[in-house]
Amino acid sequence: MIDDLRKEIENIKKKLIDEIDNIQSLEEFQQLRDRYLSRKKGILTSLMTKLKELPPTDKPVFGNILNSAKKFTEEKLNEAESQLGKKSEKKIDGTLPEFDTIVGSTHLITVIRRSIENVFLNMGYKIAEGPEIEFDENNFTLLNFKEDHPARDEQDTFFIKDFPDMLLRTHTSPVQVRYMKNNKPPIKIISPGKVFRKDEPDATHVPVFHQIEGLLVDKGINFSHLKGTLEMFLRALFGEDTNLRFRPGYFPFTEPSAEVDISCFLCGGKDSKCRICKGSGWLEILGSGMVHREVLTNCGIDPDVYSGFAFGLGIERIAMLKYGVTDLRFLFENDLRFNNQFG
Amino acid sequence: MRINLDYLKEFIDHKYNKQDLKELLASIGIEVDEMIEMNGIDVFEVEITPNRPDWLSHYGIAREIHSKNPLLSLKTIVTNRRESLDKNGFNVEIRDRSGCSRYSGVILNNVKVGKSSPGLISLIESFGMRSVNNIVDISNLVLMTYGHPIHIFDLDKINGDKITIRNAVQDEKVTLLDGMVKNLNVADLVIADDKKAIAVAGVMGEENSGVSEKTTNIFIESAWFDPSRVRITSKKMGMKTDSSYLFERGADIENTSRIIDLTIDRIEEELGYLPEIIKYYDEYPVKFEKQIVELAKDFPEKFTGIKISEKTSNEILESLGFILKDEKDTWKVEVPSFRVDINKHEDLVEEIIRIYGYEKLDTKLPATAVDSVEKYEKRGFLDKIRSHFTAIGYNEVINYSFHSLKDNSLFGAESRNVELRNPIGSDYSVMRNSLLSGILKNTAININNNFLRISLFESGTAFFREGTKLIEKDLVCLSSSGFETLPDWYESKGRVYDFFLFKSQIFGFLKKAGIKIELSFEEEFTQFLKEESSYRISIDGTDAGFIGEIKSSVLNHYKNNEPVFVCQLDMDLLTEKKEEKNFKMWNKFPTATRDLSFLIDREHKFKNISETIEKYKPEDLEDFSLAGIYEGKGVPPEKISIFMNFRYRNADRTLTNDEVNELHDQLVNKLVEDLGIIRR
Repeated sequence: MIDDLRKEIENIKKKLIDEIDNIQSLEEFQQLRDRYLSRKKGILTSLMTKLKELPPTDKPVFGNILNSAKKFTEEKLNEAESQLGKKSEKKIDGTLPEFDTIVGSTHLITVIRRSIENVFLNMGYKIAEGPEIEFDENNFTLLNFKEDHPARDEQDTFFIKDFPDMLLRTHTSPVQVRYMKNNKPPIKIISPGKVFRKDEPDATHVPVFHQIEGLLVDKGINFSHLKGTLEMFLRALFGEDTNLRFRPGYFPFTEPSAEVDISCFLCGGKDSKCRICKGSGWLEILGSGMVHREVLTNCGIDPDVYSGFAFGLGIERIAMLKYGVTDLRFLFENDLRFNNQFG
Repeated sequence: MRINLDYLKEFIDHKYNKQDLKELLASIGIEVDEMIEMNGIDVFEVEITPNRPDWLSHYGIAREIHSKNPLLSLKTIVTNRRESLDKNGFNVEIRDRSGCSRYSGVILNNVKVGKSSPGLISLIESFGMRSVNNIVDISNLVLMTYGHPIHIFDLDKINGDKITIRNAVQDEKVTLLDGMVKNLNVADLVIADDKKAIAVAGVMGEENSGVSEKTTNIFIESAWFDPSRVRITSKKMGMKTDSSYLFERGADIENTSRIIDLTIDRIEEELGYLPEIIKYYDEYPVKFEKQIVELAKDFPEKFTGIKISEKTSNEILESLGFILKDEKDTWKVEVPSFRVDINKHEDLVEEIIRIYGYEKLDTKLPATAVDSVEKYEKRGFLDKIRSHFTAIGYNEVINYSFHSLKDNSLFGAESRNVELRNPIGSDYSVMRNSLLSGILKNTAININNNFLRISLFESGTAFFREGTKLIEKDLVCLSSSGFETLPDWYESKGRVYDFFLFKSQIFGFLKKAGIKIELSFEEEFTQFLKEESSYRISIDGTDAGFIGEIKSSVLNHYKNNEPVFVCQLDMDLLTEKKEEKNFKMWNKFPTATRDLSFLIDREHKFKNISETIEKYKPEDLEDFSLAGIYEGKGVPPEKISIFMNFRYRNADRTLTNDEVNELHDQLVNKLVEDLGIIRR
């Protein structure tokens, strides 16, 4: 009898393997497991009832056979389940292209403006702003542009109709005037903003552009402080290897005045056909100088006690030099083919 | 100004090649804009700053090179006054002594006017001028050589026996050498004979008084005119001549008479004989006052931050023509008459450091510290707007601040326009009264370039006139047109902007910033917004801006017919109303949600529903939201079906089912009473 049972169990095992091979889904698998191993009606479990019928000597033998068959079944089913699981997991193709991620852009002028502002904020300067429509007095007279002096011609000015003493500021220096009139030294500010000059738009001129000017007034400030400050700033902006060249210049509101060039960051003066320095090795970058005593006096600061320096640069010029923008009008057309390249 | 390098060598004997000369000039403040070659001669186009009229000549430049390198030999200009016949010519009378403080001249007879010699022609052409005749060319040569404008009259065209330097009479007319008729007034200074003005002082001569081929007797004028008088006249007349250019910057008053002698030399040289010198003139009513500037000997070091020896300072100033008188700790420095730009000790330091070399400046950092910290609220909030909206796909734009009159008329009242007196063209004739025009132009350009997703923003100033005041407003403007999400393999339809998507993006941001906004229909904005989406945005009852969809007539103006949604807000108000966030403990008790589905008359806006709920809102109603809208089948045409969620929660305990039901029923009853909703 035990032999018959042994044979029956072998058959059950064979049948199990066949059935496992035919399984397609997890539901079928669950049914299969139940059919063989269910506590009440499972094929193997129900064989336990035969135990009673066996002679005492055969009982442990059959128990062993049955247990190993159960174990075998468990293993086969587990194996099958894990294979089936792998088959049914959804697989993605990670190499499909990313879809449009909808990122906009900050305007290049803002990018440059912020990077310059951050250098000066780090150096302890404050940001001062002021109106774009200014009094002639703040824009010119108090800055030592004498009435009917040719220096006024250099900055072709827009005037406001019906307001004879009002104009569109030609530089952000009037912000410095306002600040000096309202604050006592030490003064350490930069004034960024829009400025206006009457130029027909072309590749290198636009009637509206952006400037950042700086002003420091304190006791004992000298020309070498200006050079040190500008060197630190320009190296932060253009790289640690940048060299500075100071040249005598003229601005009505500074004395002495200096034009500042930086060494060409593109070719270092080695390429005679360099796109930006044209082989000279130098790039004109900003204007600066010691604040004219007349200007300090006009703003209520005693020039025999205090001295100061001022400097100014155009953001659009940085866009041309550093970012290679070939036509200033691109900055104001807002063609997304341009704007999307930055920020 | 053009510098002929060959001619320059007549005054300074240097061995620099042109590149080195260019560098040397740059190092002392003379910028060479262009290096030109003309007939084998090197010519520099140089830029002379307006403070240095003494550089507007070959001799002036040579003198400056010499101060930088005193080892080079500078030609000494020797003048000699030749004998004159001292015959009676006419008299010179200066009536306006401040306008004309010195008037020198000479009458020459027997001058043969004709074609200039090849050498003179070549010189004149190298200066970028056109050769006219020998006498006119010499007047230009004298200007380009010594930097003083002279004017030469045909003596025989001068009427009467007196030359007067006087103010013009009101509406006095003068026909100039170039044939233009100009109207003068009392502010203008003229040179006149007995009958009429024969020149506008320092600007240009009169048509008939000039030298021609028939001229034989001439009167040469070398004068000093007040810079600002010349400038006012030349500017008003729109006439910028080489002469006015120099006079308005300041000529050397001490030099006028010597210039006459130097001119006679040149005429003799060119003609090959000396014409008869009839009479010299030199009226000098207001004598030049020597300018003395005191310079403390330690000031150059104090002001430049580098050690400059007294000897160096002294030598440099002397090489520039200054005369120094040593007075223990200071120098009394006498300024040469040609240096009209020097009147204070900083000017002298500039001269010293300029010649000593800017490259010798040290690099130091000021120790200046500031004692307060700025918060930059507006700047910070603008950065937040910028980073938020760029992150969700908006592109920042910057436009000109100018509009055409038409642009302004689309967005505001003409009476508030801020107009330019001298615009560059009609497209740019007024200051913008809105940021919309720029953004709509930008949108149209990008639609033309086949961009499907165009979301833009600009922050900037708009300008308004309020009576006699000019107002600047800081605004931020946002717009969207086309897709928010482009169709692709992932989302085949994409997502197109409509009013609600646009509004949700903006209001979602503002809500997060703690800004409480209210929306109300506004007739005023239908000037440019569609009737059905023309809303005013208010914050705490103050106007903050608008939101809506641009109406088609405005779109047409910008040559666009795609829908554009726009919102413009006042930056100052936003900055003021944004809230500092404080931590609040969240409610830990469970929420009870109740749904409400109802029909309501179409005339009611959602705003009425939410306002009514707010009005009767029980304390335990935490929030409510719109979950769905349905119209169409099963809903009467005059009604709309609305589905909403209400969430109830108490701060201190769990609400019972019955409590929630009671609260909700009470609220619904109010909606029935006030709005006539029909529960479904």
